[in-house]
Amino acid sequence: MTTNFENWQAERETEKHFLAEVTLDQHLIDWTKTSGQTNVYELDIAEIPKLNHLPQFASVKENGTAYSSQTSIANVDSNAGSYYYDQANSKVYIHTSGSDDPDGKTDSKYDYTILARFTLYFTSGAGEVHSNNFYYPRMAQGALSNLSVTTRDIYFGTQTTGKGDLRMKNEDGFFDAVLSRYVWRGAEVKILLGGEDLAYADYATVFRGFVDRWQGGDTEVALTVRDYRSLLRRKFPINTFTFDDYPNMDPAIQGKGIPIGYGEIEGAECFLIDDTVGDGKYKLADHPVAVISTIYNNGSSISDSYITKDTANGEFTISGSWSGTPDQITADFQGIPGSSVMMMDTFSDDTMTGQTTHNEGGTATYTEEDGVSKIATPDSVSGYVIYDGKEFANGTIEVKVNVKSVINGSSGAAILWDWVSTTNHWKLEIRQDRGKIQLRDIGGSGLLGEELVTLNTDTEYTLKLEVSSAGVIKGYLDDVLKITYDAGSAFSLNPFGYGNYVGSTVWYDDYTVEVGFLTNGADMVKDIFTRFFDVDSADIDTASFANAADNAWQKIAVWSGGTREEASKVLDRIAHSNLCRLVVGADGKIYYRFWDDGDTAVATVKEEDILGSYQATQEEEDIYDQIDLYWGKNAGSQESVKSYSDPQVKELYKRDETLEIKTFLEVEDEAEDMAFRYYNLVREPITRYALRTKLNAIDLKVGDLISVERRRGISPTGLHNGNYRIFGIKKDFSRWEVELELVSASDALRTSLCSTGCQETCESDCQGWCLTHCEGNCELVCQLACQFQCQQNCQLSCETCAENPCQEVSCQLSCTTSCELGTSCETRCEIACEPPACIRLCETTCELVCQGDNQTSDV
Amino acid sequence: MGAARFLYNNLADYSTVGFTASSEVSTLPVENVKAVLRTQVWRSTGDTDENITIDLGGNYSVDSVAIVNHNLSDGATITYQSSTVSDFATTVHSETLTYREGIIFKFLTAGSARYHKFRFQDSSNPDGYIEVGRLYLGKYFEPSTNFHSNWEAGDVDLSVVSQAEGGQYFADVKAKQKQINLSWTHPILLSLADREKFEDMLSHVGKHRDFLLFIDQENKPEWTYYGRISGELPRFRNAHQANWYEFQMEFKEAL
Repeated sequence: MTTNFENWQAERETEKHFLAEVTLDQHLIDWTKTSGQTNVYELDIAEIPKLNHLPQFASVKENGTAYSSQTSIANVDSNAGSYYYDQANSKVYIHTSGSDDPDGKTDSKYDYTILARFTLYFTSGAGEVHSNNFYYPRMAQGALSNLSVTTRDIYFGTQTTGKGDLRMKNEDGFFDAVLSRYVWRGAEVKILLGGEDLAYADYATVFRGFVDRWQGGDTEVALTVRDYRSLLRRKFPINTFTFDDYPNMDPAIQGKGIPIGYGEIEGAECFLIDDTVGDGKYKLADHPVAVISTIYNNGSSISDSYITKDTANGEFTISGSWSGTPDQITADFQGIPGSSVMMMDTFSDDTMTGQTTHNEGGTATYTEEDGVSKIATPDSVSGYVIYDGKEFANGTIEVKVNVKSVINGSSGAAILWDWVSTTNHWKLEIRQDRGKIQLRDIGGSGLLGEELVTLNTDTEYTLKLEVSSAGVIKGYLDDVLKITYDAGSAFSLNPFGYGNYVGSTVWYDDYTVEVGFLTNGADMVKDIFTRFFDVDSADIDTASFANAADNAWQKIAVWSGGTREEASKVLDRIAHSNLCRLVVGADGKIYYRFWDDGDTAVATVKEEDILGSYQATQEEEDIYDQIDLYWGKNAGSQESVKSYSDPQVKELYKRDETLEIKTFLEVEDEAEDMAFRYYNLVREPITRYALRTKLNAIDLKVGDLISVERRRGISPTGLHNGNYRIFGIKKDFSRWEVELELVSASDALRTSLCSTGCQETCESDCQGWCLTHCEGNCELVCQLACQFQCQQNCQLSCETCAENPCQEVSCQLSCTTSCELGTSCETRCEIACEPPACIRLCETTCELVCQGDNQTSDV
Repeated sequence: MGAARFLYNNLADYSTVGFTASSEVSTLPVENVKAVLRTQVWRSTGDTDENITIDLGGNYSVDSVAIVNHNLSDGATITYQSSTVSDFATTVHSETLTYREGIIFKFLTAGSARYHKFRFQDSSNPDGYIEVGRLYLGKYFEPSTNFHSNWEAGDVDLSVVSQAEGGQYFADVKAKQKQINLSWTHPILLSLADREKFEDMLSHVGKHRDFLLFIDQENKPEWTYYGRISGELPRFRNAHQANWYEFQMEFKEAL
């Protein structure tokens, strides 16, 4: 007796079959007023032919809004926007939101679209019952022969929609009636795989999507289904300006898309939605925004004193007292709010050691309760806890953090340690939304480094920091992280947890909150799906999005408005900004995949698993001699370009083509990084492989890494032993075969290949104090292309390790080995890196030298 | 061993027949027992004392009843009653049916009744409810001579098997389906009267309607199958003797 899907799937002798669950709508019209009731209308609901029963309604919706379910007709009469389903008498009763006739029309169009949602159940087996639902055995032989997810584009993005046909038997005319009765287009389809001995709960979801169309006749009906990416064929932005919503709007904007904006947007077009208020009420976004910075008229800023900002609705009003005449109104703003960060008041005005001056928050005293040391919790405390300030000149500082509670909020940070040197003011903080420990320089240059630590509760972490120059530790918290704070909510928390300082006094400081906004692609993609496409957050694979957010952290600014375009173009551009792929897994979840060289193979294809011969091809369109990458934060005109080209490509491959990549990158350095990473990918041929396998591969998805074990293969273009990345997959469930399209793992990672080499070199060369810092920097920067990041890495290490005797030579060697910068760089570095002038001169020299063509990565 | 029996004209399948049940899950109503699919079941909400009552709309003669596809346990008490009155104050039949894992059936003394009730008392049922796929009521047909002793029975494995380049076998495992070939060939021949009975049956079931085949209801009750004619309808061949015929039929079990 098999007990779970994994065991069951491994048994080749089990009978397998599929379940298809189709959730669809019935458009309810032709209502009759219910006698004796004031606002109730009723409708007879016929049984589903041959199933001998009425559908179980999951919901009844009016214009997309669900009615509340009532238990009697009388209750329906009393509650606008409600329904009662009398299954025994085959009737549904409703009370519209407007307490009027549900069949009412204006200009021959229905005022209400009333839809009842329910599910039909099918099986490829003999017919079975799960959860009191009969699965109708109508799936034809080979009903799922062509479910596929594939792409021809290996350059990331959204890829082709997964699709397939679900074929059903119709000899007895079952579908004759139901095809016309229900709204099939857009119906949700879920396909599960299971079989004998397996409980329904252990069936595996192998496809989820939507009905795109149907076709059929007397004997068979085929439902063409597509996965979640079919949503991306919708026009974006989703909502448009209408007179129904904005009766006083500028007529010229009718039908234009209400903009959406993520990140830091400059010069966004604003739309006049009410010309009766002051000098006009304008809409800049179809959603809340974090900050409305500056409003412009024909490029000239309008003083904030004339602007009433409404960030919650993405709107603002220009006062009638403004002397100007509105013409082309634009705005700088920060888009959809994201993580807000609590920032402790700067220590420049606080002296915490033994004093309460500037200690605006208050004090509290540790006590002991029930044998457990605790801090007495004052009522209504808002603020931040630090323990007794300590001073250190230099040396290694250890901060122990016992994480008692990691709140599932989307934001929040705890500053654990604060250090002010003569030149820097660094804070060590744990960010809730990343699960990372970050070292931030609040002096203005931003993030310095981060440790990849997954925070677990009830776990003590020891953080080591080297302080190599004189500084003063103002305070640190050797206590508890406990923050409850979500974006958009008022900050109110009990900052105290368990401590070991009974009787001692602690201070909690005042704080400020930086209203955050989404800045990276992963967060934006997730938000687009859940906010605009109503995708349930449970259908978002949080792990892949978190991984992408960690590894593809480039700041991007997305603005889409006015002229609408296919949503896939917007998502493509985001994905291209991140070198990520938008993938829908076999489980129906949406994945945002960053290909990591730390990935491990999830499956192994052995020689005996391969059917027939594999095919290897090199495509002309995979090679380009030039890359043009478009970037910029100016809304609607992100036309700044970063280019890389290589004349050798023309000579070698007779290819004279430019690959244009549109991105939403907003930072020039990051755009340059990204352009170079694409350049690494396209300047050499990539070999594609295709094979068929009997592998039990239902769980595989695009982006997965698989191991191939074969005895032979024509090097370097053959399929031999090694790891390969899936970029296309087609599943034929009728023959239990899977077609895979692959590229070698190393080819797929040309965009980030320097990381391992650089890191290893750093680790081996940087001895002593230098090691940790160099390694940390390498880990961070070598996720980018090697060329000048590695150089900068070494520069940073040089600064940090300036007092380490190993430094000068090892750094230079590190640069040389990792980045193959060439003799000139090495020589100049050697000359330049003589103490005490090492740091600046080395940096300058490297910067000068490392711009040329003589630098390549250690690919 | 008696002759094979055929129960094909199910009185409960006619559209005018009414069904009531002691209880039912709304998505698995009692009307499901006349759906052609044996897997499309009626499900009660309890198992202690459940019943299905069938109103044929008039008195019809019944000499056999059957229950196809059920979840009854071997401790179940199964009774069948028929009556000319709806309250079953008087009964034409009042029988206890013997539990079988497969098809439960009983041949009765013919009696005419309008109302028919199947009662299920199965409080030890591990499912906690009663499920029934098909109910059969009617009159069986038994040819006067049994089929030839060279009859065949076996399973058709619907699994799809293929071979990899290296010779390994892969199987998409499917169910097995019973297939039975019966023949009346020399020297075992059908009389004209039997031929006419078979013709009536074939006219009714065609190749699209299921019926019950009892190979040896006395000695091998487990050799009772629910299925239909496989392939084209069989033909009768004159056996070169006046009013005697040869006949072969292929039966395939319905899954």
